[in-house]
Amino acid sequence: MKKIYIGSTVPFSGKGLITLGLGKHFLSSGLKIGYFKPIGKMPFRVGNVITDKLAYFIYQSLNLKDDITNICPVILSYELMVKRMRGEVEGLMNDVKKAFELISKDKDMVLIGGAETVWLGSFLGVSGFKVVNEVGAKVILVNKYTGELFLDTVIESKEILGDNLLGVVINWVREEQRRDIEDLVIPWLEQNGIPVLGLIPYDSFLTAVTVGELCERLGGRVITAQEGLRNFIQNYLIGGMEVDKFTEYLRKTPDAAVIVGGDRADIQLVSIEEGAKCLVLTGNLTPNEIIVSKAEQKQVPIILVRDDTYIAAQKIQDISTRLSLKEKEKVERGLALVNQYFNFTRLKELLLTI
Amino acid sequence: MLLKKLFNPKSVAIVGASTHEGKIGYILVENLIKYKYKGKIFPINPKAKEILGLKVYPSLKEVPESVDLAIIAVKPQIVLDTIKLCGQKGIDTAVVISAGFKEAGPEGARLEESLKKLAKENGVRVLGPNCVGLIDTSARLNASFATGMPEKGQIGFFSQSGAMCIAILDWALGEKVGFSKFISLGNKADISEIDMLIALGEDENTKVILGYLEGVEHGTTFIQVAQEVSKKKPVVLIKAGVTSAGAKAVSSHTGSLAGSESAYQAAFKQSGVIRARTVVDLFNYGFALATQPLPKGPRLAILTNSGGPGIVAADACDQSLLQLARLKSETIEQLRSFLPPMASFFNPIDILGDAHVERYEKALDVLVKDDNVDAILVLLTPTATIEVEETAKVVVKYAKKAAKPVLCSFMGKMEVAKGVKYLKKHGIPNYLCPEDAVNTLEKMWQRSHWLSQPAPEYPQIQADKSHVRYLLEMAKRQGQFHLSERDAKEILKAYGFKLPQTQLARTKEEAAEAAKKIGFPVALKIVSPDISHKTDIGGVILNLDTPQAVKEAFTEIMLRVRDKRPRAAIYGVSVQEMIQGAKETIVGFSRDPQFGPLLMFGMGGIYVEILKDVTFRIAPVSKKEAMEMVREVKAYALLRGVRGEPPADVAALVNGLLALSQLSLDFPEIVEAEINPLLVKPAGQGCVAVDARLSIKKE
Repeated sequence: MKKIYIGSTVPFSGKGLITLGLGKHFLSSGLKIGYFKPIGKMPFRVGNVITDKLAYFIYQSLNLKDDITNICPVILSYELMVKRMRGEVEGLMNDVKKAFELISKDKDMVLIGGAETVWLGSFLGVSGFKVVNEVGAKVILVNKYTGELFLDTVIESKEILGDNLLGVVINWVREEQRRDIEDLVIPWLEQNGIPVLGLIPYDSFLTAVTVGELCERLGGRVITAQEGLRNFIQNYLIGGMEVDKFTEYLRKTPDAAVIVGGDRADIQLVSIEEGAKCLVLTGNLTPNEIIVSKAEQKQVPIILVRDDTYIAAQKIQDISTRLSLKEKEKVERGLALVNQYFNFTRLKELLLTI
Repeated sequence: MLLKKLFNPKSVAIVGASTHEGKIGYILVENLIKYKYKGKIFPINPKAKEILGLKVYPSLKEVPESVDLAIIAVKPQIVLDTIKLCGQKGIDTAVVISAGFKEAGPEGARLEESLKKLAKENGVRVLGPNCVGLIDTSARLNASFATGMPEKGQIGFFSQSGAMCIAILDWALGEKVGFSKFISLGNKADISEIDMLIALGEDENTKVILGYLEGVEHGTTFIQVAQEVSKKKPVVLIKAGVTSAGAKAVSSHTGSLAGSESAYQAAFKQSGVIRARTVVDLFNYGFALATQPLPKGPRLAILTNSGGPGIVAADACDQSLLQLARLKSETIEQLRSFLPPMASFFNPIDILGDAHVERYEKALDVLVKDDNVDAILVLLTPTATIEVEETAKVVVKYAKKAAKPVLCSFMGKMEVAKGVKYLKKHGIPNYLCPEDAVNTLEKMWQRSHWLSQPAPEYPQIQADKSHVRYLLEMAKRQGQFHLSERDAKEILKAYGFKLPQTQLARTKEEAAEAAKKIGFPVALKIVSPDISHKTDIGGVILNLDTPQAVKEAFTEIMLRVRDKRPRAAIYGVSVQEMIQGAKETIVGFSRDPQFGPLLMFGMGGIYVEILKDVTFRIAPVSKKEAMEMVREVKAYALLRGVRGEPPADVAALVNGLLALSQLSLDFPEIVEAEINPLLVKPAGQGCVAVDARLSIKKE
């Protein structure tokens, strides 16, 4: 049985999508696959079981039938942290091992999903490195390229894992980074015995959120054009300047949500006319009737929020750093990228040597 | 012919005709009767039997005969039903006077949408809503609620503002300006300025088209149509809302965006539309264009009975595109033969303050025959000796003989009144002051010049479009809407732009090597996607002429960048060839919401930043238009070469503008492009795009 741990040393690198992509790939080649996540951070209730949200999503997407109780044995919570420090919790690794044994029964391959980074859970004795060592898994690191941080952590992982490091996937590669990555980073990694299993380009669509989701996260209220709630937003603009200048920015910014005070009718009008995907009106100010009717006519949803513009913008910043896999369109687009750019042939060769 | 029944209806129905004096529904019927409309009138009102002696019908359906034009002045909701009825009765043109649509809030906006839809479904062309109506002097049709009926004339006028219509009409009555058609466009739900240009262009009774506009909705069509119509007859327009204050007023008044001044200016220029800045200018130009022939050249002769006004006119002439005519020697001899020796025989021709009408007559007689004179301006101050009315008669007599325009400025008010009245009656424009006359003649000459131009040429530029398409596709996929400098330059290269020799260096040794290969001096620039204004943080160092200087500059740039932008990702330094002895220019384009790609040219550096010395055209531009752009900037002399410098390669610059024009049309997703600077080398050596920015949008 093959055991592959998919982790990262740089948070928010897109492991979930790669794990899902690998799972689908091996399922379709006829292998019996198991999925397991030792430690999770996003508690989610399924019936009586509390598990990890992303883990459950992958479990479901791969159409697996194992007992949900065992998918993610450790859920990191405040309570668990307190108990650990008071010395009330011990031996979590045993729970992890037990759950892993149950999942891996009768399987050809188990994919082990890492948490935020390979270090998460060190204080609980269940960090990625520990688990890998304990269950004897091979590791694929999925990382964004971030300069020094990337280089430091990958080389340190290589020192810790040795031959157990199967390789690295460089994810979310922006075009302007490509030259450095291809000229410098890949040759250097390969020289240091770290195979590169894929160079996956950045696709802005994957960071898009729907207007509906944006509204939910901002705790706002939609006052018109409900039909537009499924619009995808890829960019954000704050309408704090003169109309002429703003129009210039708006025209250059596709699929934008415009965050603006409820009293700036000029900015609101131009946003609706120039194809903004939604308006986020701050300060809980209801706009002019003429604005509402224009928005309705052009199907541009208006979201009213209580926050001021700065706070609203901060909340939005948090949304866009994390990839959400809620929408089918995004998952399909992401999987297509994995299929196109992940080097499965090389992975299979490497797996043969184990 | 478009809108035939709008202009020459054989019968009209007034839906919403009223028995109450003073109501709009009453005034509409009253105006038709009062001004002796030639066709049949059918007032419609379910409650009335008779209005002003006419039989009233309860509904359009009950009218026993066919109706050409429906004039509708009922509540907005009923307007919709009436449009349906029009369709059923086969009435294909309607004027909706009623207000309460787009201008009245969201509910009204919805009604207007329904009105548009119904009009289309029922095959009815609609003027308005929220308009004053229209007047057709040849059919003696006054289908409006304005007071008064203008005289028959050759000016067709349309206006987006109803209030402007009413005010201008009243003024025209006082000034005795005649009109062929007078139209209030209202909200332009269906019939727009474009339809009006076409219709008035086809109308035999209209010789000149005047219009007042606040905004144009379909810019590209507008340019095409205006260009076509301008070839047939002059089009003079006022565009209101050109300042940012005016534009805001337009937005809140009409709920639409005003569009940029630069775009309108370019659009008017390219389509041959004459632009008036004031309502007075609009009619000054309009009346002259309707009554006088166009000058064949720019040479103006000024005939005056006093020195001062002659000098004022000469000044105005010098500041315009006109020239003071150099009179033929025969002309001067003839003038000498009958004028007193103190008179001035050269242009301006001063026949002195003691002149009687004879001197005007004899002088006009020779000026009309002089081939060196393309236009004549007759100035008159009411001195004690001059017979004003007689002089007016003489001017009219010779203007009729002349194959060139004759304009007058009989200065004053009371003393010249009778003469001025005579002039106007006989189609000679008269102006309060000579500057206005010169200004009008300048526009006439511009039109004459525009008409004489050969058809524009649009040369095809060879370009590697598929490579550009690929680059844009990649950028879009990554959500990169401001292209990297590298991609932007690749795209320009595909359109034939030359780029400076450039090499990426990741270490100071590499930088020095690269510099040797390229040849000194070189410039060093930081390469980082996170730094957009490199110069601001000291990320650019110029004029490095030794390997040692290059190495030091490399280290210096790295230090500055770490200091100013510690978190920016760095991908090395680019070593660039320095272009010597070239002129700095800026070229680019943006997209105007109404008119599309707006091409820009300016002299670089301080000329564009401080003096705003830039010029615009709407793409596609012809070779001639591109050349005009280059010549139009005030600093053009710099390109021609000053103080013994060689002239710059203007031909290459023009090609660059044409290439950008084509790029803007080939790839509509490029919303903005700027090459700053585009360095123009001496003639024959081409130009080099040193820095470029390009932004795209997603479809």
